[in-house]
This record gives sequence, structure tokens and C-alpha cells, in this order.
Amino acid sequence: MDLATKQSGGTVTVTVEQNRIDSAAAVTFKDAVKAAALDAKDRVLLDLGAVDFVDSSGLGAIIAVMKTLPNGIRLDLASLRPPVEKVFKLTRMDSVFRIYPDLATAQADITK
Amino acid sequence: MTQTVGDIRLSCLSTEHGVRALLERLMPMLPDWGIGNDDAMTVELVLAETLNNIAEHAFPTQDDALIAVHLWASGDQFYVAVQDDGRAMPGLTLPKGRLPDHTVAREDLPEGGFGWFLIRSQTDRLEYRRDTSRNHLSYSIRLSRPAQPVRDCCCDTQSNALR
Repeated sequence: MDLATKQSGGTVTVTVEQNRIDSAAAVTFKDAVKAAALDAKDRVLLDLGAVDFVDSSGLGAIIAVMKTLPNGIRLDLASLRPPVEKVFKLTRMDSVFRIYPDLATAQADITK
Repeated sequence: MTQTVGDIRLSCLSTEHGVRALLERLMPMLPDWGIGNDDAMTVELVLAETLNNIAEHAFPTQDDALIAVHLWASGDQFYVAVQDDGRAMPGLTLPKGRLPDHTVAREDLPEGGFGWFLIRSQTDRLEYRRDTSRNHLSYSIRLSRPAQPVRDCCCDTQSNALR
């Protein structure tokens, strides 16, 4: 799983650098993001701007990552492309995550 | 008379990578059927859920089985028919596919159970039957605009001249 990680303050930004989080990629995605998130103090910001396909396994992997974060650390999402946004809306998971239109908006929002 | 558009038969290995390869072959064809981006993403999602379910549950221990997919469009309907010789659906019925509850504590959030919800919520005419040793699953997806061939598959000189 190709990820790029950047730390700034308490936030670790994880940019997914491949275009599918599907059934074939879900497990490696989950493990890689979990490992990348270890240094986060407040939140993990998952940048999905390069991802144009997420299926139910990919969605499950994103939810699984959130559930493994220590209490007090959020998983926020940014830059969802239309096919990915659709899956979050249909499953109502758009009400579970904070979803930002782009990274700049996400980084500017420092509300707890 | 409504024209049938597409009408192709593809198959994939009963693995997650086999499913991905089939989708990567199919998706570039859909613009030529006059299918727009919004509809194409519904088709890709629903097919992914369908085929991954078969790979996982009909062939839990078999990586070299084939799943056969027949796809066509007619008017504002996209039709999918899938066959495999794997295990039968438990009870010979399709899962209900209720949306898992999301209004729960973070540690109790569902990590699965979305697949059949996504299939059921995006399809019509959903049917499953088992004959002897074969599973037959079919459904249709409503398109936001009717499918129509954007160009001829055979590209003969006459139709090129007319374009």
C-alpha cells in the first residue's frame, strides 16, 4: 500500500497514493494506515484525493482503522472523490466521520 | 424497439484480484455504451460487491474457479447476470442486506455487512436461483439516461464516413 505520511502538531496526515481501496487492498491498507498513525496525538487525517474506488471492504478497513485509534484521537477524512463520497453517503458513514472537501480546509479546522 | 447496447460476456478468477482485473477491463468500455460517470460508478460498486461476495463465500478455498458475467444495457436499464459453480447461498436465499446501525459508540461501529445493503439499494429485479450445481444471480441497475452506442464496435469505413 503506497502511503505518504506527514506530521504537523498533533495531526498525522496520511495520503493514500493509489487509486483503489478495494477488497484486494483492504487488509494491507488497514495495516499500513495503522502503522502510519502511531505518532498522532490528536488526529489522523486521511487524504483520499487520489482514490477513485472504495468498496464495502475498503469502507470496513477505514472504519477498522478508526476503531483501533486510542481514545481521544480522531480519524478525519479529506478530498473524497464522487465514487468514494457515494459509498459513505449510502452507508450513512458520512455522519460518523468528519469529512473535509480538501486538505487545506481540514488543516484549518482545529476544533476538537 | 429499444436497442440492446454492449452485451458482453466476461469472466474472472474467484479471487479479489480476479474481480479487480475484471472491473479494470470493463470500466473503460462503459463510456462507449453511452453510460455516464455517475451510472458507471454505481455499476462498478455493485459488481464489485457481487463478485467479491461470490469469490469469498461461494469459493472460500478455491482460487482457480471462474465466475461468468454477462452484461448488457437496454434503454435506461443496465442488466447483470452472473453464474458460478461454487457453494449455494445459505438457505438458497439472498441476504436481507439491512444497513448496519451507525448510531452506536465508536468501538461498536460495524466493519462489514455493507455489501448486500449496497447491492439491494442500487438494484432492481434482483433474483437468485440454484440449479443442480450452479448459482445464477441477476439484477438490473437503473441508468440516469438511456444507454446508446457511442461508436460502432466494427468501425467500418462507411460508418466512419457518416460520423
